[in-house]
Amino acid sequence: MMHRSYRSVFMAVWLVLASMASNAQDASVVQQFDEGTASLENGQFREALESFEMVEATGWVSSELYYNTGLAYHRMDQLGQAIRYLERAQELAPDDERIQHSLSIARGRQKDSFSVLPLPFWKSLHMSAARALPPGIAFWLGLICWIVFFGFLKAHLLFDRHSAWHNRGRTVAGIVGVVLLVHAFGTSAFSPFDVRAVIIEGEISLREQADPDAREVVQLHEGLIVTREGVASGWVFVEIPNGTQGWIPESALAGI
Amino acid sequence: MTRQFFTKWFGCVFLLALVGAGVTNAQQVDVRSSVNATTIGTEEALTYTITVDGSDGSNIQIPPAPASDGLALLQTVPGTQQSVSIVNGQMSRSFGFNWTYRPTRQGKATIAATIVKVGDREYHTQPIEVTVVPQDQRPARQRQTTPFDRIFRSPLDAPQTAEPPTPDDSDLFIRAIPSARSAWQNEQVIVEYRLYFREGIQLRQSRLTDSWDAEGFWREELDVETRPIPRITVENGLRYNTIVLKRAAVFPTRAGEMSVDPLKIESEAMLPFGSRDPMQSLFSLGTRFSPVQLASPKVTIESKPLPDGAPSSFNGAVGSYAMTVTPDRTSLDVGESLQLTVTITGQGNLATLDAPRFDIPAAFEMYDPYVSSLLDRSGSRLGGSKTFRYVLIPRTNGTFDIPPVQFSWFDPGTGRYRTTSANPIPVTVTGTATAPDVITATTNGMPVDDFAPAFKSVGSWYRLKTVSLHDRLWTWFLVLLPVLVLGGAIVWQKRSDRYQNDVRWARGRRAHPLSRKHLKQAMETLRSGDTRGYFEELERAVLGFVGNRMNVAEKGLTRPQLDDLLADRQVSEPTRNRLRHFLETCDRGRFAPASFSPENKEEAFDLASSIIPDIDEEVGE
Repeated sequence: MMHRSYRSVFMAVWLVLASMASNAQDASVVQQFDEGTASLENGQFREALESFEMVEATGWVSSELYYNTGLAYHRMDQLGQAIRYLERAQELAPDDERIQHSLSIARGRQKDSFSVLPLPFWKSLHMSAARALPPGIAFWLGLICWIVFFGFLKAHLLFDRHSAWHNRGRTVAGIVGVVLLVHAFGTSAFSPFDVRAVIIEGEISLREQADPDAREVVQLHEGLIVTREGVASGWVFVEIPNGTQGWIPESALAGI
Repeated sequence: MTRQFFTKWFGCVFLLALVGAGVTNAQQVDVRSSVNATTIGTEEALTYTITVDGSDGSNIQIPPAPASDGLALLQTVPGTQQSVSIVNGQMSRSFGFNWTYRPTRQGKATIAATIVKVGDREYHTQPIEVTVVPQDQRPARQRQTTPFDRIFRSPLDAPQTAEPPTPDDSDLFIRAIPSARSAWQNEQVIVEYRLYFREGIQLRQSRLTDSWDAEGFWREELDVETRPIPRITVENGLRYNTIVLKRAAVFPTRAGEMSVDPLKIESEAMLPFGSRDPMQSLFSLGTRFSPVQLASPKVTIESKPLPDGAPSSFNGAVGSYAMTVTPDRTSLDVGESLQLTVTITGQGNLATLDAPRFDIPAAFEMYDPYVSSLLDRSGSRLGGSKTFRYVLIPRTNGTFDIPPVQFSWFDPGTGRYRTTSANPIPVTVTGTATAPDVITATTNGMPVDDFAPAFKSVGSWYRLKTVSLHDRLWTWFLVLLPVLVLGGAIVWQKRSDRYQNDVRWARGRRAHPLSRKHLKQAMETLRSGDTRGYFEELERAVLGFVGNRMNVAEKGLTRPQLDDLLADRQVSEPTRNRLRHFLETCDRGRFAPASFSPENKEEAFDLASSIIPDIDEEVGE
């Protein structure tokens, strides 16, 4: 009877790993990426961008793909788009030196420089947890613990396994599984990361109202990253790093 | 009298001689009137002169003597004069007609306007007002003399004065003439300093006494003639010679009211009689010129701030400008230099003009521009050109567009901002970058001031998440799956236990499946043509069901025992009768199968199929 319990746990783990392994990308995606990179190195930036956009359209992305896209935009002197893709690349590979270096170069060419409001401690904590354990990974680990917990429970209920080792294993697996699953679903539903966007027009006015005639609060320039707070009829309510809020046309923004 | 006659005779001869010279240069005719003094004593004479400039003299009609009030005309025929001057190769002539008046009373006196006909046109002079004061109160002023006065003067006449006469403020002064009293910030304002001096006054050793300044202004000096030829002008009815001492372009650097300092000069002036009287020259050789100090009035200019709405490319230029942008080439190799020349021409403060802002493709490295200016100070306004030469070096190959260079300025004439924009310049860069000779990499190998090179390959691919984790149903299903599995296992376990421990329940649960199995087997037997076997299977299906359902051993039961059992379990009489009839039919079918038609066989099957549920329903739990 005990063998049957372990076998079911093993099967569950195997199912999880098999589903993760199914994330193998198509060979044509890699080929398209290589073509784009070759175009980029030959100075054919538009062609490179077309290739990279085709890769992205397949649903497969990587920090390298985003970085090369940002580099192509940079060579075409579109600072806002370059920063947009470098930020995306850094989200996928936060410790990559190449991305960090290029992003610092791009930020250095921005015209705007605002002081940054500090985050509340709970938000920082949540962000750190989300970075350390993204929802996807937390979900799979939590699911494994959850299954192990039920394996122990089944052994306890059906096969009268009441040893201390079983009890401890059941308790730990249950608590860890629940915590991880709550973290996964909670972070997914209530992300601690702001919905960010970058200004892609050379110069744009932040206005008090969603109206081109409304009073100008401040002038913003290409490459500045803002937080999207809301949308209304072609205008986006944003917050700039120093906490100032206002409206800018939706066409002047590109989501990160 | 003799002297006066000689003067007029000589003047007429000189006039005719010049007319005979045939000077025929056509010019704009200008007619003006003047007097030799606006304040005279009761015993002095007043000379009234009408001057005609720009005519060749052939069509001037001698004007009538103007009427006067408080003055008496001493002569009806005017005296005539003519002068010729050549300025910059242009010859101009001036004709004069003068009359002499004597005051008839003290107080205000007026010489009325008159009409001068030159050809077909009539020109009106302005009336002139003079003040007649008692003779002993008349202002000191120079006498109007001619060289012949000195010739015919008696040597016994006493010298008129031992000290050289000093010109008063109306004889010699500096006037500051700004081109505008109100200007925009950084707009060009021309301030011209003109020296006015009465005819006959000579000046020498003139120099500035103070450094001229204009605080709050950017100043640029304009050229003036180093050997100026005086121009004759009439101010308040008096004839003056004027020369331009200084001309400066000033640009207010801030908004508000600001002043330009006076222009101060020291000079030595000689009045006409002081210099031309040979006797006075003889007795006062070193004192013919008297020192004078002159200062212009202070000029105040109101500077207005520039209006709002300046375009982004505006960097403070005010005036009128044009811009050209020229690359020295549009095709080059990586590492070669491209020179982009931006030239701004126009009128304004070119000295402080900043380089126009423009972005270059990130692949280019741009150095600070070499700036050169060419200012034109010879005109009436400061103008010229300023050139910015940028050196651009591409780091990578490709086809790039140098974005349009934009230059904006404020046009004070229209009071609006204007912008000019050059066309984008396509540049083709070929080749590849060579190894740099200088340090171009950071300590971690990254290029200085440029992006790191592209990634050649990808480490990890990720599926782009279009749906959040919590929005995917399968994630919730996977979480619930262990719960369902466990629940199912528990139910299955309990069911198994009951099958083992509760025979009655287990047989009851198996009654229906077994009866269905036997009915199915009966049909297959019938199709094989085995009528006996068919009825055996039908009987087994029904009796088996009754035995399982009631948890009895059906094989050992007699028909009456079966009937009693069913009666005990509240099975109705009709159902029991139907069961009896069915069992009898099965008996007949087993022992006399040939007597059954196919319809009878089907009827028996239907009866079995209907009895089983009826018994199941009536037996209950």
